[in-house]
Amino acid sequence: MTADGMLAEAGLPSDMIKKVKEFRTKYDCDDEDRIPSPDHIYYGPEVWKRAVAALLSGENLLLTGPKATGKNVLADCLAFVFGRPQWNVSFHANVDAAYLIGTDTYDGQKVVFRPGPVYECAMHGGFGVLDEINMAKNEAMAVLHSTLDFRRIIDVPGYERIHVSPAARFIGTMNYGYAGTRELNEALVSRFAVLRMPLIEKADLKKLIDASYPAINADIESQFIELFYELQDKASHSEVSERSVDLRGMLDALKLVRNGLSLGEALRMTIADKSFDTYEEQLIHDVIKARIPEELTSKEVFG
Amino acid sequence: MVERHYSQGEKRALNIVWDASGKYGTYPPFLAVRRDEPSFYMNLVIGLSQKWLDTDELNSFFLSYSGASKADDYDAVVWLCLENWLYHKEFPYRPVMKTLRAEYAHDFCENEGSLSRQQMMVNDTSVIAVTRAHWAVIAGEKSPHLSPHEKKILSLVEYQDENADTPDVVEHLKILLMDGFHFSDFRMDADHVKAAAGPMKDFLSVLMRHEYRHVDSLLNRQDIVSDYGVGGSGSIRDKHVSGRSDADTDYIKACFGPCILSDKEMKMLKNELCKGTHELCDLWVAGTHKPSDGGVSEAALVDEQTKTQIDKNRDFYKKNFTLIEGAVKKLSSELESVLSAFMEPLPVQTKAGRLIAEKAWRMPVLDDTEIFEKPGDEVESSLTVDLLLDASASRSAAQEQIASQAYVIAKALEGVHIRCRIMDFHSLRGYTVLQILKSYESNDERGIFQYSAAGWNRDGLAISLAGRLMEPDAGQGGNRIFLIMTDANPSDSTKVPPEGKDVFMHGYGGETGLSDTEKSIKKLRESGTVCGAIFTGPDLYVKNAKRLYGENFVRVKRVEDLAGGVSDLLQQLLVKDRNFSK
Repeated sequence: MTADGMLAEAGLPSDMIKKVKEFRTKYDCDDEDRIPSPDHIYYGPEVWKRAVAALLSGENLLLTGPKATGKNVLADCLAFVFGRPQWNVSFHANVDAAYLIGTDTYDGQKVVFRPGPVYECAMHGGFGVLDEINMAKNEAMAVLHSTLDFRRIIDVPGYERIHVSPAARFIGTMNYGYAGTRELNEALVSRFAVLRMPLIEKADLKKLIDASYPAINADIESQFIELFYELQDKASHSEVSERSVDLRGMLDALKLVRNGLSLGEALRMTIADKSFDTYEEQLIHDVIKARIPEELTSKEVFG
Repeated sequence: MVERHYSQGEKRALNIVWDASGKYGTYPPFLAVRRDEPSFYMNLVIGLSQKWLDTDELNSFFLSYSGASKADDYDAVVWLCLENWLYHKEFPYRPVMKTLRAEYAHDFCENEGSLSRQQMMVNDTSVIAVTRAHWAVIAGEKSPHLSPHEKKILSLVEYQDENADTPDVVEHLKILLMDGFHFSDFRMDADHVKAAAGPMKDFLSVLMRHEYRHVDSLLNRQDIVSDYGVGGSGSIRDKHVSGRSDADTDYIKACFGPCILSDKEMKMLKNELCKGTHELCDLWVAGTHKPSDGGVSEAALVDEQTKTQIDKNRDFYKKNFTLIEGAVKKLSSELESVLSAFMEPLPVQTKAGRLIAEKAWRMPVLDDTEIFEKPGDEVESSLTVDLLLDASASRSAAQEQIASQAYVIAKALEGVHIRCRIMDFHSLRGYTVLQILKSYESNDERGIFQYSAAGWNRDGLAISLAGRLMEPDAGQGGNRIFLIMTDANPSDSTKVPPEGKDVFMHGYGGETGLSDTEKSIKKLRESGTVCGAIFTGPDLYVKNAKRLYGENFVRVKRVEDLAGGVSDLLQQLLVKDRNFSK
């Protein structure tokens, strides 16, 4: 799918599509290999509209929501339609300023600066995806304040002060779980436009499956869709962990069926067995069993 | 109203019911479980009954004949009929029903030869014959010979009116019992409703809920309470109003063993805490020392009851070993990841990172390029957690589960090298008793199984006392977290003396209890301790928990929820504790 094709499919208003195209023309890309080419399009016109409007306005985006709401898929799609190179930074407890901006290192003759992903993204006008942004300590994130707000600068101590490219945007993702929230520093949140990601609509989920598996049997597809929401329901009531709400895993199951496994076996591998707690695994298996016959083969699923 | 405990098999059955009904949090009057192994199909059917029929109306119908001598037989035939109706109702929306139903029917036909009448849950021969015929037809096997009367019952069982609503279905079920079994006494009075018993309980368990009430004694089993009576507890309450007697002290000593603090320490605590609202109260701090009855007759019974509860706690642990140890592992690993985010990682020297200026000379002189540092994997931990368990009678119905939950927390914290102390508290005969079930130093969590609920809960005083006991450790420079596992409903029989112009004493409960507890928590927070609550009470008291602990509480209903709940709570508390973000 081309970027223009995706824009049309996303259901955006025509003037917004026009502005995205203008953005693409205005800012050249010097690292085309870094532009993502997503396997799936994000379905949800309202979310698209809000996200694109925010990015066109120069805002950074914070995508929050539980698992399987398509945060990363949307981030990839946005970089793709805006034609920007993407830098992905997975946040974890030990992420610090040096990891984000850059570190000192020895090049054999002298101590030199080795740029980090945020620095590179800012220099090249990329889309920086700050994945699971709430996993890092807020102090580590303080270094990003001047990058993300109106100043748009990165001051590298001992080296130089750079201006963030006007094409650069940062998209944070944050798992806003069912059981509770992990708080993000207020100062950091204020530098983002926050977009709460809803659970994918049934009709959009159908579109997503149809796009990858157009030959799928309609009855089985409808049960498959019900299964996704039933797993989500079970996780939202804390009967099982969010691990089982795995849309990617469910789509992978169909791939395995096409390659010879029964649907039951495939779902066991891509959903149920991902839980290493035997009791939880049994509960997930029961949800699957209540919707999908174990022995369905490729012929029946895609017949 | 308190929640019933479910075994692992029952919980799985409940989940299957919820899978079908989508109504999480509702508890059906039946579960299909045999020897802790749920029947997948029948639980699905039970769930579908909740999806398609009005639960209250259906439950009323079940209750209306539950007093009958053949209620178990009626249950069996009623569910057979419901299965048939629900199957046809659901099939268009859930095609897998056909496979599941056929599998169930085959299993039934294969195994029924080896089933005794009791195992088949029924006594009535016509119910047995109709059941066999029903499943044989579905399994595609030859139907057994039926008498004309049995054929009539079978035709009533195979009810398929897709447009029927709950009143229609209930009406049909009544006709089934009336025409098939000549039963028409559908009375709804309480005397008519019997508890679950008989052969049915092995398969379709009727889940009854029980109300528990507070008594001012450790004796809270109904049989024992009846011997000592509510009147007895009333007279005890009166004593507290006029002050504590030596008999009260002997009773407390006999029940909990000697006070583990010195007289001087206790005097200091009492002078500080037992004033104002708590002026008529006394304090006792006990360990897990096995008490002797000390010549107090009631204490012997108490001792016996405590032993029984300890056995129950241990049995619950053994029965749910996999679940509980699984929860320990899960919580440990979640705590590890939470703590790693908030503890300062110890730096490691590397070839890239932040230049260590004072070591820069090593590069030209010694060719040592490891003159940079970056955060390492090791973290510095200096955290102490105190967990206080509400052990009042309102917790009676959940004692085994609370003990197991406390065990999970203690073991998981130990797994991530966090010092942890577990305490419980009750208020009895004017004494607020704090019992230390596991000390900081001990690695033995078995003391936690000595948890036994009884009496009242004067939360404000217990929290203040626990807070004071934490203070000596403040000098060690660590961060302190205080967790309380509570139903957020402070209540005590020892009254609050009049204040100001007021001339009447007040009960410790409602607004008085809440505002006093609020003050204690505030004071504890001001002393630098981070406070949070694990709320295990009913919906009714959620607003109390919010008022007392703000956002710093998590609701946990079952052992499996602990890991997520407690790790989220600790994370929330750590975020609030700015000391951790240094």
